[in-house]
Amino acid sequence: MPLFEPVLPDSGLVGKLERICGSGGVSVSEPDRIAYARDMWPRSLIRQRLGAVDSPPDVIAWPQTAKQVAEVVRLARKAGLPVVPFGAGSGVCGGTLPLRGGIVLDLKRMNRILDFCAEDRLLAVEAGAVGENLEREVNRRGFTIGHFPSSMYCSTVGGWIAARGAGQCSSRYGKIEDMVQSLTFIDAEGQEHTTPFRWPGLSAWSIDPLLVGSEGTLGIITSASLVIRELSAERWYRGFKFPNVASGVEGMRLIFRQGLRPAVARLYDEFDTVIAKTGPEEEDVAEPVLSGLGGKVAGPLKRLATLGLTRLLHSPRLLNRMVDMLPGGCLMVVVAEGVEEELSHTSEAVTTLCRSRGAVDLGEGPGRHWWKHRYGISYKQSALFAAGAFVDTMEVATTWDRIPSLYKAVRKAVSPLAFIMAHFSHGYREGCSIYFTFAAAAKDDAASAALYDRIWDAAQEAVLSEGAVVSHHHGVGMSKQRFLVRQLAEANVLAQAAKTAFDAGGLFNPGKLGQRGGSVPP
Amino acid sequence: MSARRRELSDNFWLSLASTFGHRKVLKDKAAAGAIAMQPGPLAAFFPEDPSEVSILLQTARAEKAKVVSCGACSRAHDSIQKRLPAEGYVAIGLSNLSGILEVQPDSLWMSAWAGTTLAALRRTAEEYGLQVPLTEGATEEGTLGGWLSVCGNTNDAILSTPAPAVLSIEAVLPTGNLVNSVPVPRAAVGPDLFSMFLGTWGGFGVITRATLKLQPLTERRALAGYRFSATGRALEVMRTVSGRIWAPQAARMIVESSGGKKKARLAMSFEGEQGLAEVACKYFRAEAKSAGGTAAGQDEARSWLYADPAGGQKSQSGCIRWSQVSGLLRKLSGAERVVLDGPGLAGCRLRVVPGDRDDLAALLDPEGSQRESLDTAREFLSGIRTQLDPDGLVNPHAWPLPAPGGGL
Amino acid sequence: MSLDSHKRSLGHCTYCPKLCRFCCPAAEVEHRETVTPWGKMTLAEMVREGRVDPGGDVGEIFYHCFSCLHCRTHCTHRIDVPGAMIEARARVLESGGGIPAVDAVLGKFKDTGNTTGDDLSKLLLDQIEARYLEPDAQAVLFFGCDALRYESGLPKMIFELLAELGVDYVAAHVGEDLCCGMPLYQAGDIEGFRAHAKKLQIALSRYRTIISPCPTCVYTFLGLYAQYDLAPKASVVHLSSFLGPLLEGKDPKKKLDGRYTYHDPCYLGRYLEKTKLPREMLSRVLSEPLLEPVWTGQDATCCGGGGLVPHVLPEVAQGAANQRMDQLKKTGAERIITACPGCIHQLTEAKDALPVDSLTSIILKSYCG
Repeated sequence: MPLFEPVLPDSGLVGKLERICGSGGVSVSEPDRIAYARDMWPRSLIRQRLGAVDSPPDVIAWPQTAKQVAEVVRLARKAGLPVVPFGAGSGVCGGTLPLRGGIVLDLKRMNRILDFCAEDRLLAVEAGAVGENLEREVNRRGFTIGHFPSSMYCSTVGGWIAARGAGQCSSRYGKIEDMVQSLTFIDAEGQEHTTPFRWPGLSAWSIDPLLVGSEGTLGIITSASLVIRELSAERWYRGFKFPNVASGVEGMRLIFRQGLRPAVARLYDEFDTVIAKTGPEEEDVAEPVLSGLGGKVAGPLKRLATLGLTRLLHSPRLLNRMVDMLPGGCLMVVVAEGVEEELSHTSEAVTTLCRSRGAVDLGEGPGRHWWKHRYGISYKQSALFAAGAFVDTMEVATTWDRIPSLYKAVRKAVSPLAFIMAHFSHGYREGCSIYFTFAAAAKDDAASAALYDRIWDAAQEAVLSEGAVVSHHHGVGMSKQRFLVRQLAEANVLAQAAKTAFDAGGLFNPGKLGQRGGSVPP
Repeated sequence: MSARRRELSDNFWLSLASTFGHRKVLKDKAAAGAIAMQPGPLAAFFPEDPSEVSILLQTARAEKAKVVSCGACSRAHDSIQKRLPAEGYVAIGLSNLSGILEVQPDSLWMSAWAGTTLAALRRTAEEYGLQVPLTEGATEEGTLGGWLSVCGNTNDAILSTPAPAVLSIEAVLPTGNLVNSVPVPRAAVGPDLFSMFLGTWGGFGVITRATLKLQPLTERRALAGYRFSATGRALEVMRTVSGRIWAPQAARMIVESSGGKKKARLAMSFEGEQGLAEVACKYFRAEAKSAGGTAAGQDEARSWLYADPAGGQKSQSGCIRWSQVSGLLRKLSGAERVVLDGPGLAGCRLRVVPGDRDDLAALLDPEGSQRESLDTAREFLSGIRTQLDPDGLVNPHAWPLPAPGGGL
Repeated sequence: MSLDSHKRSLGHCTYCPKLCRFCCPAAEVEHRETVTPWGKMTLAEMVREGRVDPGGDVGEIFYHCFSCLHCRTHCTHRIDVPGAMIEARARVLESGGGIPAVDAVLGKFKDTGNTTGDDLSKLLLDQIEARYLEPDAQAVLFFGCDALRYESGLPKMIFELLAELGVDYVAAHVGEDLCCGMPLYQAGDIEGFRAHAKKLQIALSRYRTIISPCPTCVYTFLGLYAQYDLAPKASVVHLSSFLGPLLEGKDPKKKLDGRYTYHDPCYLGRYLEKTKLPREMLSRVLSEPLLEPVWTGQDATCCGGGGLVPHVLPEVAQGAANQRMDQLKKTGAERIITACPGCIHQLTEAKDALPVDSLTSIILKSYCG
């Protein structure tokens, strides 16, 4: 008995799509529709536990060229079917959920390097290239893209651009919008366009800032021209232990104010410091916390502490209190890349600055450990979900003057509902991002879903009231849509104007970014 | 025969009377005297609050009257004046919407009303030991709103890529909606809608306030210049050094013919915290020497960098990728001087002196692909603008968007 | 064993953000979420939970796995996706939701003892001299079906090399069963595999050492047979491990010129964790250092020969071979060396393939002249 029936309006549609994408380039099979029904939005994972496959596409197509993408768009327009572009589905916000069915357009068969110019430091690549594979090929040629999201192994160039991502080394290499020099995209009428090359002085004539971060709602990005950098000769690793978050944040601020460019400067709050020390293979994060608590755990608390993290997540207030009892100390991991003189200057300057704020130099160990396991944190979530709990992250940003109050406000809002920890990263001269991780558990999956929504409401309420932005680099998707609409306020008019100008009929990824998706006129 | 100037209706004045009162409203000759543009406006308003700007735009829209917003009109040169609506327009002068609102020196930002002069911004920043990252051509009497409308993107001091000069903008749309972005260093909240206000001459609305990025005052400027007999080697040094972590704040290579041979002069300046600037300049010196460069004196290098490279002559400019430069230099062999500056990762700006060639655009963009892309961008931006302002009433002189590289 | 025995793994994969997908050859050839390890495991979990039936389109998905184990290299939980896929395939067969290509393979195996219907016994006997059929030898060479089928001359080459090295106690295994049975296991016919393993275990029980040029066979004996308590009592080694100590201290007669690269077979490199020894052996016989591909060692990409995929999904297998060949060609090498007959065949069939040599032939050329 199939889980769901396809609802294609035109019975010949599959044949027409096959004539465009080839016979192996289209599917309406149940397994494919299940696989493309979700990305990595934790809310969807909770629903998965409930046995729900909420929004399967009607059909999946795999074009191999921009021309085929354009033809599919024209066909979809005629057929009145929405189109949702899809990279590798690693997004954590529900951005690729085909809410109204339609065609999911998987771009990964478009993964070619179109042009590589070492002299100009430019790479032209199709949108479907998977990050790690592309980076290895670019490395083989002596360069790096410099974009290292945690989803490096499981995300695509098009996804990076559509979600407006920022990699772990963004303090050195910039964010994705700094790397994009030009884009090629297919518009809602199935026409191909290339945006102007982003020379200084031409910014006003650039629509890249509109397309970057558009989450598949304005056009389908088919390829991009990215700046690349020569591979760094060497790397410097370090760890510093600050007495508390405030001094660590101050250390970070001074590093960026001074114009230093470490690839990574990442400060963990007390609990996240404990987690950061564990390797990705250690699923049970409770043990290191309990060790950290040492003799401070006493009485009834001690008994509860042995129940393991999942049970403890049912009592978030208690767990958060336990964290407050952790011996102080916040780890800052610093990694710098460059040639010897650059590294020598950076290392000296960073060390001096950190020490001036009370930090103890821990040597290179923590930095090397972090670098080795830098993608490891993503492996930890499986165990929690499989055990019936859930975990999610919320990355927000604000200026340095507001960082302490933002951190405090979000923790206060979420602590009664979930266990929460945070790190500070992606530093700028003016501020940084706070990356909150929260974990919770409820009596069953229906209750988990309700609790999940309450946590997000509380957290984002705090973000909005502190004047911070609802997302720094994960994007909006479904998870932050209602908050974005509130934050935009009257600027929703501007957002709607942009949507209408690019996609009046609401063909692309309808129901996202708070924009009205209408039916597509024939 | 010039177009007949229109009259503004009584309804128009009545709608605004309660909001503005006579003090902030000038008509006809008085308006023309207050706003330094020709032809002068039919009326000039000087709002003191963004909500007044909003009311004005809504009222003008109902009246189908064109509106032109002015900061200090310091860029009101001939080309704008030619585009001012012949039938008349209502001017919004932002000089009363002026003043510093907040300075956070530790967070390197300052928030101010759009009518604040750049001189006032600079003075305030200096009180805190900071500076405002203004762009080439910005004048002291210009305003924040005007500067952002004309350019608004600087070269990010850290990344050497174009980046907004502001953390946030508040503006009034042609619809009258008062909109603002959140003052944060960066966000991933869908399309960057507020990028449309920067450098588009007010075509998307009237900027009323902005949170401006600041920088620490330059602690140290380390500068060096070298002469090269081989242009190619000088070019390679420029290209290589521009790709470093601490790229030069200013770099210029001047190529001239001398005795039938091409010679190059290359100077670079590195700014920032003392050690940083020194390390970066040291690297440049090493690269230049190993490429056969002969060191010039500090004063000489400074003049190469900051004096007018065209020597008072007219010049033409465009942008070029590194891989195109050598080929283009050969094609420009007849030029008196070719200047390369503003280097980025992928290329630089190129200027030809004298600027009397009619083939430069074609040489820089032989397939016309960049021109086509610019048309694409204009088309989409126009589409957005039409949604907001179907009759094209607000800052009509800004449309169609002018060709890049110049003013209107 | 059943899908339930993989419950923890299936759960982990279901909630993972597909971190291993970049190195899965099925995912990289088809570019399809459904056949990433995440997609396959999520579907298997849905089968285990009874939310979907294992037949039809669903069951077919479980055959999009090369069993290469590359996913585990990049999984901190060390999840055995191939193992789970075998159990899922078993469920497919149990449910009667047969895949025609799988049924064809099983049918042929039942009739001929191998997947292609070749007369392996004849192939072997045509290639070796009678003196190498000594039934009382201490050690036996178990060639495996791929070696007999795809590396003609290999048996002769090996015995020539052994003779050069003074080894006279090794005989060739001949008998009814010349295939280790891995194809049965890969098809999901666990019971058929166990029965076959039982027979072969008995047939090989007289030997102290079993040597095979096929790492798949070696792993099958050491790993899979052991899983069902049928592990041979003999020590089982890959030919390279047997030759390694014998070549220690011996100088080759000549070093081979040219630019070579080495492809790590999945079963040798990942399953048996032998990546260093072949390289050490080659470093002694090649004039120039080996040119390493970007994807190498434990991170080597599959040639597309495993998991029964060439039989069930030949285009996907071909795609994997083409991708691997492309990676190897990017090293600038003129020739490829590898230590698995299945890999030799698969890579030779790749598009615009470079010539592929077996490790044995390289050693032979170098030590025997």
